[in-house]
Amino acid sequence: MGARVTARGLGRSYGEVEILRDISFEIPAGGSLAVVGSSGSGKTTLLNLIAGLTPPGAWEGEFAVDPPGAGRSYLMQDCALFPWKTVLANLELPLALARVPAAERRARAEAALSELGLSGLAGRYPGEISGGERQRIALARALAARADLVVLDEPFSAVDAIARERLQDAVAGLLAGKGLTSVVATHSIEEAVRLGDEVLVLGGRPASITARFGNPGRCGPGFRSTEGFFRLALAVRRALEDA
Amino acid sequence: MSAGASGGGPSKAAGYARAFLLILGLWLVLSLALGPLVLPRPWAVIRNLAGQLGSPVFLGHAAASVRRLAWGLGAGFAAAFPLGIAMGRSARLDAWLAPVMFLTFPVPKVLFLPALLVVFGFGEAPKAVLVALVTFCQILVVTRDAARNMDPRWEDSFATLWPAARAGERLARRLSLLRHVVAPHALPAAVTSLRIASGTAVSVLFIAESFATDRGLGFMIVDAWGAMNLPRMWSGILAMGLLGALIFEAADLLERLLCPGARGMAR
Ligand SMILES: Nc1ncnc2c1ncn2[C@@H]1O[C@H](COP(=O)(O)OP(=O)(O)OP(=O)(O)O)[C@@H](O)[C@H]1O
Ligand SMILES: [Mg+2]
Repeated sequence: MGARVTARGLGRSYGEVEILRDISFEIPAGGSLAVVGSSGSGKTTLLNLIAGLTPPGAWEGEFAVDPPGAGRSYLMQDCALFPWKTVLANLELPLALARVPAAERRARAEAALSELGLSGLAGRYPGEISGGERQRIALARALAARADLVVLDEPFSAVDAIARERLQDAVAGLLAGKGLTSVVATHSIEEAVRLGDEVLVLGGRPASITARFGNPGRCGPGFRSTEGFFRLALAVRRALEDA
Repeated sequence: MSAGASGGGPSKAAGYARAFLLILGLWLVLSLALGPLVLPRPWAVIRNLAGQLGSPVFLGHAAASVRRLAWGLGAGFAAAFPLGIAMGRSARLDAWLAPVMFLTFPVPKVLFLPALLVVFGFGEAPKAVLVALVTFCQILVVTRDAARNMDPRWEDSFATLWPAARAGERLARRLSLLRHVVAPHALPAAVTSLRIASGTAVSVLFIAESFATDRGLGFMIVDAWGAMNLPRMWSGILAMGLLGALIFEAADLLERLLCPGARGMAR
């Protein structure tokens, strides 16, 4: 099940350089947060923190995931899958590290692959599949590992526009269907509006939240062609231009 | 996946056939120019080698050389790879060992042959040890660099997979990182350098076999040279050359077996 995430006054510096300042948000269990911002604005830095990569003491503020032991899965911008392991072995790795018995490992990995319609790729290496497939495989790994919080960093930037929308729909459906909590960082305004119950705009130096938008209509049918979608996209665009 | 890029298939065989014909042609021209007493005709040497292929004496020499090479390359790799990984990942260990490595790297390892003969006697050991020493140094440098220069994001990527329930197991986590990330990341570079080292290994083996032994292709060459049996000498040279090519190919095969995902690793 999804985890609840609370952040209050998050800040992060690299040495003397302050990157993030005073970032606050709340994601209810099963909710989703989209973070937009220009290149270099600090999206990955924020996601690293949310995914638990940033060592304690290297950041300021309060950050909590509830329940505390909730599984987090991070689809990193370009190092999500290990190229020297097959797709199946990549899926099984977090399970092996969690000491799940071999037979169950295999069964869970295969179930996750087939759930995403990717069973045919099990024996391939990440270098032998497309960028979009890689991201879906990484998502299947999150499912196999039974993550409660899924963190996605520009998951579809390597995918063409049409396929990208299909992937967004598929991922949104999957995360909602499982009730998983998610955070997605993206350059794409449309992607943020399609995937976030709340959309945060990062801007400034150091980056802080320059605007935030609720997105109640997100799960309605045909959302992408509704007026609500375009109106929100326009508002986010304005906020990004001002940022 | 083109046949050329994957390194197998008919185009590669055709390339080898062409290269072989070219070498034979050059050989023939040289032999015609220098006279058969200095450089025998290629067919004379090939016939000589073919005739020896059934002879237990020749096979004994070839087997001795293959065994020494296999032991030397295998032991050198087996020792250097883990040490290289450890040096690449432990600043403290590296601070001690890297200066030693850089200081000794340029020293030609053949120089130690007399010392090895003194220590190990005249048996099999000194030859294999010398080959192992040469292999060890090359693999060590390359493996250490590969482990050191790994993109830190792979380590982050691994960190995200480590279960929260085992957060306190620092040693287990470090070992898992080595096993699942650092070692497979460094392996392609190490195996490539093994392939390159195999060339040097054959030269070093020739020197090791050219004295203080009565077995091995190197001995056969020097022995035939002393007896002025040129066809035999040349078939020894040809056999040792073929052995080098064979080992090179075997390392290539090993690389493809051990590092199947390597094509996607450019990132
Ligand atoms: N390890 C680091 N050390 C120092 N500065 C860093 C480090 N990582 C990132 N930065 C800086 O922090 C800022 C934010 O980087 P970050 O990667 O979070 O941006 P981003 O929004 O994810 O960009 P992109 O959209 O291009 O992925 C940048 O100015 C970057 O140069
Ligand atoms: Mg980024």
